[in-house]
Formats: sequence, C-alpha cells, structure tokens
Amino acid sequence: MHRMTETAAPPFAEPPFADPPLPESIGIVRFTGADRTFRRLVTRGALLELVTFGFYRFWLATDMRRHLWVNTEIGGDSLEYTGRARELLLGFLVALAILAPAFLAYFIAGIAAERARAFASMPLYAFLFLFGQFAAFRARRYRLTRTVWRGVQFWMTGSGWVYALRSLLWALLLIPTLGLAYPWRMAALERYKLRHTRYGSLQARFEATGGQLFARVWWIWLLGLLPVLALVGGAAASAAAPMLGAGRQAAAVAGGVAMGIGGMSLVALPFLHAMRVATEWRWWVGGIRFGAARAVSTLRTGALVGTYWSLIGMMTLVTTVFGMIGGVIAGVFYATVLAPAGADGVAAALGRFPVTIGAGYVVWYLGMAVSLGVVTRIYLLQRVWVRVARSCAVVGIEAADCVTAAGEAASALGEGLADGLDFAGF
Amino acid sequence: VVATPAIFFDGTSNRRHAVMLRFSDRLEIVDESGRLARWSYDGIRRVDGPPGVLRLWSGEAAALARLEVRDAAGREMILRACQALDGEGGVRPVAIWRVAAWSAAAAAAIIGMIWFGVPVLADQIAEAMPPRWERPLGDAVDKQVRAIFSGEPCTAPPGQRALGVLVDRLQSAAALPIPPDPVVLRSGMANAFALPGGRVYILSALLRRARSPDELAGVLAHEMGHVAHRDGLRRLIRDGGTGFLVGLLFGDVSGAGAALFAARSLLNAAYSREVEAGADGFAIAVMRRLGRPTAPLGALLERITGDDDGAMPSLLRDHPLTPERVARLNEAGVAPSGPELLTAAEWRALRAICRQGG
Repeated sequence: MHRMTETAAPPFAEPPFADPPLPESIGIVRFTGADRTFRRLVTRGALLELVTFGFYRFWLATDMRRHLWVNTEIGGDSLEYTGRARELLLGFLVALAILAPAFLAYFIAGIAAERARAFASMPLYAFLFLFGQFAAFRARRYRLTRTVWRGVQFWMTGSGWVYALRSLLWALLLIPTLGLAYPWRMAALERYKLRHTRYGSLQARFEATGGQLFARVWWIWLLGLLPVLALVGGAAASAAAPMLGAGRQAAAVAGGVAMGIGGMSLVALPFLHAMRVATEWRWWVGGIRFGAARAVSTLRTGALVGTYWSLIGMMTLVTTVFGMIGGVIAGVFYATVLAPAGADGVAAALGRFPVTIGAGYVVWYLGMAVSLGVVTRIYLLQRVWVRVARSCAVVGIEAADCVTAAGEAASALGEGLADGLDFAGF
Repeated sequence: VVATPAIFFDGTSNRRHAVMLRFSDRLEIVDESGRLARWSYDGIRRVDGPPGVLRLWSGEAAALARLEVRDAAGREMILRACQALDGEGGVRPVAIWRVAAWSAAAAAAIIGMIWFGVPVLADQIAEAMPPRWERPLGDAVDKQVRAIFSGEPCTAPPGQRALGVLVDRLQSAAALPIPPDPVVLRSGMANAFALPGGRVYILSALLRRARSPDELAGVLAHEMGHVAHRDGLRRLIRDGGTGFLVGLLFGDVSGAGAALFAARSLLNAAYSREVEAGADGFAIAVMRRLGRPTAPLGALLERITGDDDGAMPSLLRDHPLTPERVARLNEAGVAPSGPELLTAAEWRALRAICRQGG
C-alpha cells in the first residue's frame, strides 16, 4: 500500500484502492529548543575549550548535537543523539595514529615533487582532498548511527573510499565546466549518500536532480556575478578611456559609474548567498525519501537572510572589539617597552621580550578565535538548523511505522580524521 | 497499584506503544494487549529527552528501548521510584574538572615534547641522516627561494671566480663533507642564509654593505657553520614536529594556523640564540685557522641591525642579542697572521657580481 502511495503522481491525491487516509499522514517537524539554551551551551563550551587547551571540543560537539537532536521533533517524537564525547576523543587518537605517518609520507612525496619543479606538489592536494572526503563520509556515518528516532537508529552502508573517489571526479569536472556542474555534483553525491542510508529496515534514497537545483539557483548565481562583472568592466573601461579618442570622457564616466554600481551592489552578495543556501536546503530536503515517506521543506528563499546578516554584524562586532583590545595592548607595549628603549635599543628590547609578546598574542588570538567560534556556531549551525527544521514535514510518515531495528553503531574514526585534517589547514 | 500513561518503544521495532505504567515491585509496562516489559527500578536510566519529557532506558531491555513519560505526575512517580536514574550507563553530565585535569596533563605532555623532545629528536635524526639525503630537501626549497627572490642569481664571471676563491679558502679550514656552492641573489635585503643540503645564499644588498673581504668571509663562515651543524635540517624537523604537536591542541579553533605561527616564532626565538652562537663559534674557529680577524663580522652585523629600524624583516635581525654576539666576535679576534683572503681586484670583482655584463 505504501509503495502505491509513493507512485501516485499528484502527491496528495489518493489512489482509488488506497486505505482511508490516516490522520498522522503528514509528520510535522518541530524544534522545541530555546536560542538562549544553545547560546549558553556554546559560550560555556568555548570558555572550557580555552581552559582545556581545546580538548573540550569533543564534549562541546557532543553537547551541541544532543541539544539539536533532542529538540527536533518529527511526527510528535523527538530525535535522540546517543554519541559520546569519549568516542570522538578515541576516534581522534586513532586518526592521529593514521594521519601522522600519512602526513610524513605526504611531506616526503611533496619534497620529491617539488624537486622536479617549483610548486609542483599541487596534485598531491588531490590526495588530501580524497582523504578529507573519506573522512566526511565516515563522519556522517558515525553521526547517523548515533541518531535514534522512536527507538530505532539510522545507519549507513557504502564505502567511504568509493564516495571520496566519486567526489573527487565530480570536483575535477567542475574545472572545465567553470563550476556549472556543481548542482549535478551535489545531486550525485547526495544520491550516493542517501542510497546507502537506512532507518532501521527502511532504505532511503535521494530523488531531487541537479537540473532542478540548477533551475532554482541559476538566477542567483547570475545576479551574484553582476557586481563582479560591473567592477571588472568598469575598471577596464576606465583604464581604456585615455586611449580612446572621441568617447574618452564618456568611457571614463561610464567606467566610473559601473564601478560605483558594482561596488555598492557587493552589499547584495550576502543576500544572494543566503538565498542560495535556503534554496539548496529546500531542494535537498525535498529530495529525501525513506521508503514511501518523503520529506518536504517550505523554507522561504529569504528565510536565512536575517541569519546571515546577524552573523556578519556579530563578526564585525567581535573583530572590532578585539581589534580595539589589540590596539590598547600594542599601545601599552609601545609606551612601556619600545619608547623607553629609544631608537637604538628597539632590537634589543624586542629580543628580550619575545616570550611575553608571543604568549600575549596567543591569548589574544585564541580569545578572538573562540568568540568567533561562538558566533559561527550560533548563526551558521543552530539558527540555520532551527529555521530549516521548522520548515520541514514528512509526507506519508505512516510508511515509517513498521520499521524494525537494524544496523551496527559505526566508529568515530571518520570524525577523528576530519578533525585531524582540519588542523592541517585543509 | 498506581498507574500513569507513557509511550513505549521496544527497541526492536519503531512501533509506538501507548502504555500504562504500573508501579509494583518492578515497573510494569502494559498496553491493551498485555504486559510488554517489566523493568526493575534500579536498572532504569535517564537519557536525553525533549523539554517536559522524561525519557528512560533500562539495562535489562534492548539498547534503544525507550520509555517516555510526558505526564507531570508520572514523572514525579518515576523520580521517586527509580534511585539510580543517573547511574552507570546513563547520560551523566561530564565532570568538567576531570576533563580539565586530563587536558592539562595532555597539554603539559605535548608542550614538554615540543620543548624537550622535538629538539632531541631533531638532533638525533639530523645526525643519523647522511648529508647527501639532505640534498633533495635543499633542492626542493631552492626552487622556491629563487621563485621568491624573482629567481635572479648574479653570475658575472669575474665575481663568480672571486667567490669561488673565497669559498675554497674557507672550505680549506672548514672541511665540510660537501663543499658549499654559495649563490648570490639579487635583493634589497642585506642578509644571508643557509638551507638544508648545504645551500648558502647571499643577498646582493649584503655584498653592497660589506666593506672588506673579512666581513663577507665571516658571514660565509657563519653560514657554513649552520651547514656543518645541519641547523637547516634540524629546524625543518623541529618545525614539522612542533606544527604537528601544536595542532593536537586547539584542533578546531579556526585552523590554529596563527597559533601555530606564534608558537613557531616563540620557539625559534628560544632556539636561535643557541644555534646562532654555535654558528658564530664555527665562524670564529674557521677564521682563526685562516689567521683572519673575526671582529669584521661583528662590525657588519652591527651595521645591518643598527640601521634598518625594523622597517624590513631580516633573518639577521631575528637573531637575538646582537650586542652580545658582537662582543664575543670582538673578544675572539686575533691579530691577522694569515694572508688576505682576496686581492683588491678580486674583492672589486666580487662586489660587482650583480652588475650586468660585468
């Protein structure tokens, strides 16, 4: 019966031979957490990260997920995150054991390649990319197997290396297509991930296509290109103006105007970015199927604009405040160390103070990084999660009613690798 | 027997059972079809639940069996009946002090390894590695150095011949396993440096600022000291090891790239004093063997560090305590007993090595 509901062309029309519609046929997704709770959680977590030399990150990540999962309710039942920080720590340590020799091998291979030609080790980035994609896939598997709904967990099959290879090949395709292959790449990768995703005995799949995404976002990309084109074109016109004969004045004016308009319309980029992200979310959610149950999202295209501007505002605030603190510290340092030393003694004075300067710089930098971390976790993670979750619903949720438990819990190695690759500046 | 409504998931299927909880000698989970489970009170644990919902699990049930009590009175009854809700196996809040203490221990171990372990390791590796293995390292960096300094080595033949003479004299006293082959690069920076694999670079501004062959010979002998002590290789191993270890701390605080940079400059400031003193010692020994004075090197150092007021980042400047070094070089000097290292004509040719068609 559920299969038939799924194949019915208009989504809400009932096939003639279907059972009478069930009242809970549409599972509403709700988010029950308060912004305040999450803000307190990440602020406290950030301070603890400072105190624990960053090791608290495993506990913070776990607590953030626990908060987001348990407050996300699908069809009246909330999710549960069963992962533990210790698993992440262990995954990180195991990943280190793998990454340390891998980095060494990478380093040696890099030297061998550089020897042949300066900066020739670029292809080796492909290897790191592959490794990163593998880690992302395995990290997703870990998170899914720690996600429980109605007493049954999600899980994943599939191979991390196959996924990484697909991801790399699709990424290479981006180059000759000037990035236009991006929607199709996303669709292909999501298809692979969801095809290998299970909720208990229920298999998932992804039905949205790259073409659909392209149709929804091409105008946003085009609009995003316009300010850049106006800037470049205007600059070109201004530069070329003196070489022109008659139209010199006009070309210079036109170039200046174009650059002005282009510069001003750069303000539009955050709007466009937020609209693209929201559209992608709506597309992605709308493509998810679990058996006959399908997800929909009514996320408005402009739903994330406020979130992104809040992010920009808060980041500006944080950097300004820390910039001022840095300025005051530099001033005090100048007044107490450099000025009394006089012009001749500057080098000697600097030579005597590297440890205090370095330590002060580290503390200042970490304070700023941690504050920015709080801001991004709130605005890029929680606010987006809440807005997207609240826009979702599951149509035909009764298809997920008779699912039996299956699947094993996966290790956190992928999370550890992802964490490990992160600090390598990847 | 008191009873309260609840929702039960047995952990083997996701079927939602609307149940009644009966509080007898155990917690009985019952629906219209009969008893689904009996949980002893002590085995019941609290797990994450949304606001207003007490979500429970029992060690006697399937790993994901869940019992959800949403009714306020029912929650009260559970809290009263179950004594070990947050006991072993449940979701207990982490003991912050334990995490902090272990982190402090781990950080201390890592910092200890950076401070004591990595230099020792670098020394060991550098000593064990045959000099010719260093060569590819230097070759790799060489390409980048040339790319950074616009890749323009100065090659006026008379100048190169003079440089060759000077290097041969120094090598006769220094006896490096691989004879150095210094390159003069066109640059506005007054500096000289050595890379792993024994490559020595002189930037042309230094040549311009030098007033006598002894000054330049001192600089070359100093750089040859770095080569002899394999400081470049050691620094490379140290930086790599330090970077890796620092990365363990603050893993996800935005890449930690800047923290890494800061840590590196901190450590370099600490190490370089010793390293520079070592290279100076080598230079002093070489110059003495050739019967040449060491004070000119100090004079050149002073001239370069004195005048550029920090406007230009200079490798020589990050060598700490120039006055101390200059004093040592002055004290170590002996009266010139050996022949001049270069003739006046050779010195002129060397200084003109960067002149086009010279």
